Amino acid sequence: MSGGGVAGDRADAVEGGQSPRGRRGWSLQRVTLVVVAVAALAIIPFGGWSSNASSHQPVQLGLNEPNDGLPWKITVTGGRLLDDQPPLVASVSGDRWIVILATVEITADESRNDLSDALRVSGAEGLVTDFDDAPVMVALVSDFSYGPYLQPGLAEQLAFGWQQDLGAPVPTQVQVTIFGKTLRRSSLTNSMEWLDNAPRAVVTVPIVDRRGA
Amino acid sequence: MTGGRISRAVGRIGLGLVAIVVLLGTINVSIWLKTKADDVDAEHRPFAVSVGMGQTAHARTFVVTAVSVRGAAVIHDSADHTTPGVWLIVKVRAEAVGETMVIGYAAIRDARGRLFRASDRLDGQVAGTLLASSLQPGVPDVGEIAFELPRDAAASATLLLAPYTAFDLRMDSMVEIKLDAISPATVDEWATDTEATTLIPVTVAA
Repeated sequence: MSGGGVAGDRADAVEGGQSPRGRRGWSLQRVTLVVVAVAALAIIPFGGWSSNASSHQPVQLGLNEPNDGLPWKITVTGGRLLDDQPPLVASVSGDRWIVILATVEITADESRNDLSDALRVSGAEGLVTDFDDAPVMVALVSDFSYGPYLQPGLAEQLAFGWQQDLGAPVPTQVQVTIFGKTLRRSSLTNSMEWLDNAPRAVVTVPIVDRRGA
Repeated sequence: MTGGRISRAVGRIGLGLVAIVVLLGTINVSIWLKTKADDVDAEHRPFAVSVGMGQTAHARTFVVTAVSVRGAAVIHDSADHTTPGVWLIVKVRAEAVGETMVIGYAAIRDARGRLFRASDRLDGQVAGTLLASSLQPGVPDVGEIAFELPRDAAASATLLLAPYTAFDLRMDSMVEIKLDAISPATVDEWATDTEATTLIPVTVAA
């Protein structure tokens, strides 16, 4: 019986590990290679293994050196130590203020009022901050409007204020980090949003003590 | 277990893993394609109601007319508000339709497509005047809205107005009023006028 003979040969071959499939030899190495290759291809649409965070190191800038970028261009122009006095109002009476002065121009195509994301200070102790070490006060120097919309193409002088505990050491200088954002499609809402607040530059700012002035 | 059986078992596991990875990859590619194909911002954009100056725009919840435009270098309320650009002040007549509403969004779009929100530096625009006022059906109000613009943006401006719904402008009416062209000389004149102006308070229209 030729049919039975073929079946018998196949059974023998399988038993002996000699089937056509077996001869192809799915070795562990091949499987691993295939899985890794397919996995690598599968993540390409999402940027591969690269991190979302910018890999750029913030540059060191001097005072009055502009930092170009989106959505704002910022030039840090000075630092002051001030008493708690109008129009400044500390949450703890008697605390003092570290105020960073900067010229800010919106380079995005739309007005923005999220300038509290733009600067952070380090090198001073006892700061009383809101969320995420943000300044508790951002105001226009010209009329002391708090947190106003800044308009594209109009450079404005801003004061960024951090309240400092009266018992903390008096700083003579601080490091100011300038942050920027990226306009990209949000993975949550799928709409274009300014996201990924990331450091762009660091400025060492001498603090001029104007308390009692 | 012979080497052949081990090899087959490894092969089956491998095929299963490959199938899973391919499935995940397919899902990823589908999401990527959907993300690229769908422009959510365009899909959900407001419905534009476009008119010219002096014409009445009928939005879903309000009716509005841009009456006139003027400019200044300084606006005074409780303080003097200067600008490195120029103040563009638009007089608007507005009325709610059907029920009380608030026009919370006002912006100028310039010829380059830049958007300038109404200034929130002025006392009245924070509370108490047209942008924050509750408009009533059948009772038209007149008031002014001030915008801080670079001089080059003032020459060719379109006023955008939309209802206040937690800053969500999606899929509702947005009035777009093309303001009359202003010559650069006029803008320069406004920008160099040192005399402070004040905004007219909101009043019931005659």
